[in-house]
Amino acid sequence: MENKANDRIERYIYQVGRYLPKKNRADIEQEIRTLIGDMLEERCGGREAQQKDIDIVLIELGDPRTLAAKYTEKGGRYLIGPAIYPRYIFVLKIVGLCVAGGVTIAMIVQSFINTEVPPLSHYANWIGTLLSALMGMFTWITLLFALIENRENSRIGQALGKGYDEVERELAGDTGGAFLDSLPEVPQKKAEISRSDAIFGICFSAVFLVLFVVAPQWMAVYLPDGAGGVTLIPLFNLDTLRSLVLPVLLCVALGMVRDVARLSAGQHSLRLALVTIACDLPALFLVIYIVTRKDLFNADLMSQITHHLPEAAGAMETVGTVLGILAPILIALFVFSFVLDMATSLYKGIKYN
Amino acid sequence: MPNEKEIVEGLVSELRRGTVVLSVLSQLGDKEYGYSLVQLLAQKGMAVEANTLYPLLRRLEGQGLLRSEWDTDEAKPRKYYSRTPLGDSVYAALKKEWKTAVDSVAGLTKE
Repeated sequence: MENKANDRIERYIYQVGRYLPKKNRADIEQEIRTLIGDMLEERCGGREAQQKDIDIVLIELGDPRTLAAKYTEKGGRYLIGPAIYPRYIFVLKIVGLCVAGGVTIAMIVQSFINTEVPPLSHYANWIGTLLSALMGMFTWITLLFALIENRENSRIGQALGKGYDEVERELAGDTGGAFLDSLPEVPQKKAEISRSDAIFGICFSAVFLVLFVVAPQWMAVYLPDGAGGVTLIPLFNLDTLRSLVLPVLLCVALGMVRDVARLSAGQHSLRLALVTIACDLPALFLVIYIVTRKDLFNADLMSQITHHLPEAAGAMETVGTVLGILAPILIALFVFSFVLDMATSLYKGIKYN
Repeated sequence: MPNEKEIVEGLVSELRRGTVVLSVLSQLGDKEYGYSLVQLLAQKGMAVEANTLYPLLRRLEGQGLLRSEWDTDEAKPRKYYSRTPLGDSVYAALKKEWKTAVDSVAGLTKE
């Protein structure tokens, strides 16, 4: 009896120890061993402890894992703590929106292309893809924020986030009000930046990126193939496009950085204008570089369209003329929009600074 | 939605949580081992469960408020805890805050 009873105590202690850091495991185990002895002694008075007494004492101490957790918990150990939780939720929402939008668009396009599959399977496919995409997004963002939370041990975190301890001290008021200096200003009504614009920008960039990387062939002219389906005639030369992945990625990333900066700043300022210019200017040069690549567009676009749609031959000539001067037109458009963006941002930045 | 009983229980445990440290510090001017402290606190109406108290003692030791030593002379090896000088002054400060809080809350809840 005694052996079996002791066995259970030792097993309990061992189980607690398994979840303790090695450093003070032996010490805590010894402490718990004595504690159990003390508790049994008080329970039994002089008589020998029975199995039932031991069980009651162990139940009182609770689940070994919970007990171990109580030993290891330091103030504010969170996966994602209150300091960064609001930002976490915010990022989840935006990225979730992008992912859901991107997947939905992709699925709609696919349902046009692939008309042989019954609509029901498109729905099933859509729900399945949506779920797995959202799960993946959730995992990665959570991981990233957990890293930020745990910034004591991580450089990325140190660069990005404010630690829980810091916030806790601020809440307790013993930073002497240092946080008062970092409170953001209440924006003037006119200086405010539309959040939806920035969010739309981010979502658009994300969807474009997915389209570009995963399915560049979908950027195409869609023609009926006569059999109820659709033929895709790619707008771009896919080989050239593949060789441009890096500049395109960089370009989209710059746009996202700008939009995220706008989102977090919330209002126009000189600093934000500088960030905008620092993003827009290189992005503009990248765009020009990309647009001026020869063989960027599908050289056979016209002949392929005419092949599938002979009656459009006349119109194609006009289109062909336009395409011949497409690059300069695009450059002009991009220069105009980028310069406009930089100028607006600079003007408002100076005005409301 | 939690019912009234759950709400009260939750708030009471929040109230108690802050007072446990003060209670523990108060009893450790002289050295005590963990379980004697459990009994001592229970006798004086401030029952704290062993599985809460033991980790707490260790945490307070980690913060430098308590020191500990193993006494292996007795039949059972025991770890004794007592306040450090830092623990003394933290205890004094906490006690003062507690008195102020008690007076203020007493005033507020007189009616």
